[in-house]
Amino acid sequence: MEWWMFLLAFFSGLGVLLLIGLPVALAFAAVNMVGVFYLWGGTRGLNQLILSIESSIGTFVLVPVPMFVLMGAIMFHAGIAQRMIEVLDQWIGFVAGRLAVLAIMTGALLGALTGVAMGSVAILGSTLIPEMQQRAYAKSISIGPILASGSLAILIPPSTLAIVLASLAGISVAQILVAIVVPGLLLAILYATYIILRCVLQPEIAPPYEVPHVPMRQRLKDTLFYMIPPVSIIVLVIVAIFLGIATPTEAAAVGTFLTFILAALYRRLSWKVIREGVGSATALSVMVLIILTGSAAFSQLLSFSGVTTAITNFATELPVHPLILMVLMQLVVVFLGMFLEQTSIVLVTIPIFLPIIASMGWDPIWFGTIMMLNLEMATITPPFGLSLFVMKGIVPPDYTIVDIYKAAVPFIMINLFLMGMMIAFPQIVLWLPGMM
Amino acid sequence: ETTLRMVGSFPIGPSPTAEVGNQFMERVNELGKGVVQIQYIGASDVIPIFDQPEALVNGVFDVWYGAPNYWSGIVPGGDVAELSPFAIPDNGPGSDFYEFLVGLFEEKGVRYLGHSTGDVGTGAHYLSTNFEVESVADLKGRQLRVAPLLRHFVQASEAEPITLPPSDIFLAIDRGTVDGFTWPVADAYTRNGWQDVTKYLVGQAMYRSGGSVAMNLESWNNLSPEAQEILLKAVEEVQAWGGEFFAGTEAGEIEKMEAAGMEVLKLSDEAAAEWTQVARAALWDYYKGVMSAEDADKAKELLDLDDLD
Amino acid sequence: MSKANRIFDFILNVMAVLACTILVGLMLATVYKVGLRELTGQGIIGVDQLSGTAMVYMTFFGAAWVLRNNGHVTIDLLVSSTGGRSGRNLVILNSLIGALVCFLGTYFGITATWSSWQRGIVVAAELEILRAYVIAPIPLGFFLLGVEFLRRAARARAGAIDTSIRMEA
Ligand code: NA
Ligand code: NA
Repeated sequence: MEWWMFLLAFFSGLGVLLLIGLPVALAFAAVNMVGVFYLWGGTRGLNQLILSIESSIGTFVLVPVPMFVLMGAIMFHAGIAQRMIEVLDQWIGFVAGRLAVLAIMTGALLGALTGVAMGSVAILGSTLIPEMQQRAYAKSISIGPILASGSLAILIPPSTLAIVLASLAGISVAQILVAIVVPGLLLAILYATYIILRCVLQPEIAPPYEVPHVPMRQRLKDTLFYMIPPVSIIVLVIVAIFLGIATPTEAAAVGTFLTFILAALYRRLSWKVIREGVGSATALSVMVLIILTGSAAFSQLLSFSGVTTAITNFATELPVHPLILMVLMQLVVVFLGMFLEQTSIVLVTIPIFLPIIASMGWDPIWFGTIMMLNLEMATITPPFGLSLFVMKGIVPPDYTIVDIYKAAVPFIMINLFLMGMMIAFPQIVLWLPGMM
Repeated sequence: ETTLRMVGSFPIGPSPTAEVGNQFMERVNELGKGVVQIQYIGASDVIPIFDQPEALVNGVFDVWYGAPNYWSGIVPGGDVAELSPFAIPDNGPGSDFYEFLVGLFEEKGVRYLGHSTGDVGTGAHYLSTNFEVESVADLKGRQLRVAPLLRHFVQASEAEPITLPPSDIFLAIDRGTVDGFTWPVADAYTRNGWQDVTKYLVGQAMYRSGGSVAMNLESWNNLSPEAQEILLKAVEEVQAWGGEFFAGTEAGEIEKMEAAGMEVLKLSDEAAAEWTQVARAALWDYYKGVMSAEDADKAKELLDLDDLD
Repeated sequence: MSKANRIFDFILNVMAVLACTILVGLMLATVYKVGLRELTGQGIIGVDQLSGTAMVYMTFFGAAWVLRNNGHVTIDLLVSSTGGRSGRNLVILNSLIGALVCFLGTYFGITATWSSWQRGIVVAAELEILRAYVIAPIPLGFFLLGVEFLRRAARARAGAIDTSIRMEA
């Protein structure tokens, strides 16, 4: 069989199984089973497949994934995150597009508390959209910022997707967690700048309103009690990784433990909070990890069948400038991002991209970070994007899916702009990890 | 003509140790025209390194190359040649020790083919540190990143073994998460940039290291006697070639390390003897624990390890 | 039938509690290791290795429970857009395929675990554990997941359609 026939068989098999609604993890398992049976000598190969399942997830490199998920779950279930939003709200004054800017800042803050875009769209959408409606905000300036803010979670550390990407690509988890900091913050700043500029130019889309005054004393007190402690935990985790005081695994576990202690100090660590927080964190971790059980075998089959080598040769011999190749690879991710969820995109593309990255001599941290930004965008790119659907579920019925698509467009443009900057100026990505 | 599929632990090209597999393949393909040929499928991209031995047993591919101690989980004591005092660690096809190893592997469904490395003391695992080392005692309480083979030595010297993927060694040593790490220096040490963040190389070798080649037993038994002869001939040639090759790459690496400002620590004769003794005794203790008493006695006799008991 | 269902639900609940316990245990073990290292200058070995193994146990203990709660990441576009009887048939079809994959996984999981056990294969790491112990949860998890897929097919047939909740990974 020719390599392209394997490729076609792999991806059409996967595509059909996904389309009929088989859970992603099982679709990978099914394709792997057929591939292994065919390529690895029948049933003996299937024994080997079981071992590869264990190899895929039985590694401490991935332990930060469930740890960061647990940390975020406790922050939410104990109400720590919600209190932080309130504090943030007290500080933002009479800025143009106030509620939209608040959405972005909250998204960045929630992003720093969690490793997954776990419900920030849902939380923000259900709290801010009614208020935006009441203040006569236009649809575009109410939905768009909330969509954008939700996606910030995976670009602001901690980020489980960054860990998954690093683990699959065999690059340093610590470095990629540090590398996403600057692009993540830049993106939040670009979003906020865009909103303010647009609301200054078009005041009618976000009419200014009187913000209830909170005395400075109260603001400082609330900040000290409800903002500083949880933010310190995150800063501690990232700084410990940055300075190499602890491995990402250790930093994540200690940070999670401190979150439990903080919740207890707030007297919010009830049995209910523990049960629901740990329960949802376990479910979410299982969901991510079970998708990854297929990762080793999938990439091995692509190698074994010669697909990886053939595509690498094809790509490196393309008579184009390396930057064009970079753009093409990102376009593949954009395309997959229209249909697939992020972990699966990483799983499918990294085994093919990795040898190309190596043969082009690119820094994998640079490539990986740009890809993270791209994946972040996938949740808000039409037609299919998780955040788009979540949003449809929480907005009033007079908001159509097309309204939501339209609102997402400017923020997708901003993402593309930043990606272009990162490709043109690798220092945006590499400066901070370079100081490690 | 039979075609055998080969998978190795390290990619041919970038990895010096993979040259063992590559040289073996090239020699077989030269000697075996019309009889037996080897086709290289890939390395850890095809099967993760630590799953490869089991995949060979399962018949996913036919020929394997990699670090000898990757067999330790499957063939207890299969890597006992790490303690070998011979120039060619297994003494080559036909020797008593070689046949002993063939027997050990055969029980587990594997045909042992050979082990190639530098002469005693070259091509081996060494310890790199960011603290000065005069003797084994200096390792006590230190955090050292280890390859699986070295964990016995590190534990025997009361240091703390730390597991990290190779991709994280640079950061860990640079930031002080670990105080040192072990690596077979001949294997592209400087390509990882470690020489820029590490101060010392302890110039006292520990184990033989290098690369070894093995086959699925069934694939071996299915070969014609002529083809088997060709493979063994190729093994001999690779073993003869290995001594100079590993010595050469190791010297080149050390030169680059010194150029980058690393210092090779020379232990006193007494400290060097103790170092070697602790390393060998720790590993031998482990082998004694996992091998049958009979096999252990045989290995001890064949390898002249009386001093260790 | 409903009694068998209740028993199976009970088993899934027990497995879920175990998976949750493993998650918290993962955290505590690493915190303990770090704490010990800070206090005594010497950590304990094997925590990282056991953590990796615990991830396998957590995933396969929790997998069927997550499916019961409709949690696994699914592209439910076709199912939710067709709806009605054909949507239901699609769920039955994908559940049966899921069950088949899981039972194959169970069978080969058992043979892999058994042969690993018989050959005495050991994980060559800090702690020398039999690899059979590390892969044993895989067939168990696949089996429970397979049964849950059958129950999902039955639920769809009875008209209780799953409109899968998509969550972000
Ligand atoms: Na985050
Ligand atoms: Na999308």
